[in-house]
Amino acid sequence: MTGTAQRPVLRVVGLTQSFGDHRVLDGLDFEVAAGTATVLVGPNGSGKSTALRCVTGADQPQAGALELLGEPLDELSPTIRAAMAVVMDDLDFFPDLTAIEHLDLFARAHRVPDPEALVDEVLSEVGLSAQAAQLPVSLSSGQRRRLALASAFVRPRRLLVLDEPEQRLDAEGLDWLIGRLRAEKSAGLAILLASHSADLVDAVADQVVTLGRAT
Amino acid sequence: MRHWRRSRRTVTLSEAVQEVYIWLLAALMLGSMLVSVLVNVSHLGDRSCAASDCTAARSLLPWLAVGTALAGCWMLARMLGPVAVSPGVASWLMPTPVDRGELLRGRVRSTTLLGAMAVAPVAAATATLAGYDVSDLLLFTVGTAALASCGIGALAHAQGRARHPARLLAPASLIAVGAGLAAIAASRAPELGGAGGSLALASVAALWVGVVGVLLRAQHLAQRLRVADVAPGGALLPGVGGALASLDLALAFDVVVAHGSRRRGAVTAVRGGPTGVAALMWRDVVRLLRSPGRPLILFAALLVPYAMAAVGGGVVTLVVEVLVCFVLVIPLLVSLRVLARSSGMVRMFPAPLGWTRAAALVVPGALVVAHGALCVFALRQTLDVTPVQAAALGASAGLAGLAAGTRWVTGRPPDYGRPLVSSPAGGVPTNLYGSVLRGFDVAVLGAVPMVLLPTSGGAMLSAGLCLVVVAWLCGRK
Repeated sequence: MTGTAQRPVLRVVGLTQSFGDHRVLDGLDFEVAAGTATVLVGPNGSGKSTALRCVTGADQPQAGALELLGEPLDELSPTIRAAMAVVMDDLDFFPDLTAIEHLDLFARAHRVPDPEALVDEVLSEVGLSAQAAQLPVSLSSGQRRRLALASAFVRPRRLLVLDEPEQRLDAEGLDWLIGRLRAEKSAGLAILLASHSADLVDAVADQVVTLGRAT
Repeated sequence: MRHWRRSRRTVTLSEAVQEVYIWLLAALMLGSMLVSVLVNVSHLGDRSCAASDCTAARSLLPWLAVGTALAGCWMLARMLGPVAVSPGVASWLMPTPVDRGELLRGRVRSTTLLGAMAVAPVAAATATLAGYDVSDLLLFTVGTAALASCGIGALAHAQGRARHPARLLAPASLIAVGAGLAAIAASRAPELGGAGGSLALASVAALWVGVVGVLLRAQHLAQRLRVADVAPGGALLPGVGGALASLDLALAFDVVVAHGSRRRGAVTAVRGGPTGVAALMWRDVVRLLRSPGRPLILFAALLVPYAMAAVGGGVVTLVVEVLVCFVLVIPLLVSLRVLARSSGMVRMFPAPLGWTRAAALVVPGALVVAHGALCVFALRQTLDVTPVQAAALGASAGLAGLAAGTRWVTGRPPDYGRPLVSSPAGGVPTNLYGSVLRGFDVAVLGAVPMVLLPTSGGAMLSAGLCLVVVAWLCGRK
């Protein structure tokens, strides 16, 4: 259900994925419109992360169609990469670049105008200004999660894909995340996320897609 | 208690004796085969190495090899501690009021002796190849083993101290090796005889007195060690051990790099630079400025092909150059390693997969190709080629080293999810054993055309093959 007459930013039709004999996703359909947030919920093993991995191209689905901005979603396409900002658990870091250097690199790679100002702003927003010169391995897991989230906000995006972004965030961090996602929606971005946090779902979701129980 | 002890045994005494017998027999057989090979190669060297440059270089070989082994041993010791404890000991025993000296003295002693055991075979093998007689060989082996142990003892003394001259041992050893190579390259290498003489005997005796001193003072050395001094090295070992157990050398590299980053903790951030994929290239430039030792070592290693050329290496000089570039480009490929080992980072960049990874090769590639091109004088000296051909061959050798390094860092770990091959050690992934040779396969692919055809044509063929390999490795999903 899109709720708008506009073409959806993301369209998923008949998404199907199995691991061996176990069917994780069976004909999943949903759309994400600009300025809205769709949240995938469900118990562990219900296929939330699998669905996100199929959308981001990390996994190849067995069946189904994925469209981003009306075009078939091919993550090999630089246009798709430029439009889709992804924060999943598999985000790696360069071991020898500091927190601020990571964000500076992403901002410049995406040719953001005035990258320094944007990076400073986002770094301050995620509460890592004091850790700007630290290497990722010396950050706590929560700080690394904040850095990963910051990486999505220092570059252009039309669709934000997040896999359980509330993990390892403290209460203050969760409040910040809720506020940030609301701001993203107000700016016209589409958000797709998987979450176990009732607070986050209640605060942000315009559409909730419940995935089935694990068998 | 007797029942509990006896019920835990898994082999009988006779089975244990049988196993020991088999191990001893295997060690003797393999050891004698190895000694036989070394002696035969030594005799071959006696017959074929007649020119003064060659005999001088041959006499220096044991010292250069031992110097390199000592540097490696001491660098490894510094990286680990040299005294290290497992995470379990660090968590459970170190915080208790147990006597640290008693707890750690065994580790001090074993690490000290381990250094001797690591260097002794290298000394013995290379002294055999150099044609030392038995007494000189034994003295050389025993002396360098003692030197290794003394160095580790000094590093144990330096452990936990901010500044200590022992930290200069490994660099000093490498500088000495470099001086030896420079002497060979300049055809000024002295012809060193064996390690005999009363002075040598006295030196070796003094070194072993030092080793005994370290062993006796182990408890005193260990008493002042803090958890922060011994835990990080111990935390490194399980990770590296696990990676090596699966023969995943690239994973071991990741663990070591992460360990180094953890020890640094923070650095002065450098911002700015170009946009687009050039931003990745700029980051490699910043890395070089931040760690100038790496390019310094790369260009200091030019001494190796020049030394090989000075002793009449011929086309082997090209092979040596390829291998030198292969080994020394790997620390420069950290960016590519991160982009290759998971899809999480590479999808952050708005460029095709191949372009993003290729951008991480530009700066390291420029360095190794320049390294190869700078071998032009060495190649002209040892091959009958024009300057242009020599430069082409050298640059292609550098490119082959880059391709081999790219193969190494982008290799995939053993995949236990695929069908396995049955072996006496159990199920083995099909790419497990090949992972050890990863990189060397491409090095051979790049070197063979130049070895068979040491001309511009061979250089172009080699470069073409290497570029195809690099393009495929960067572009594969």
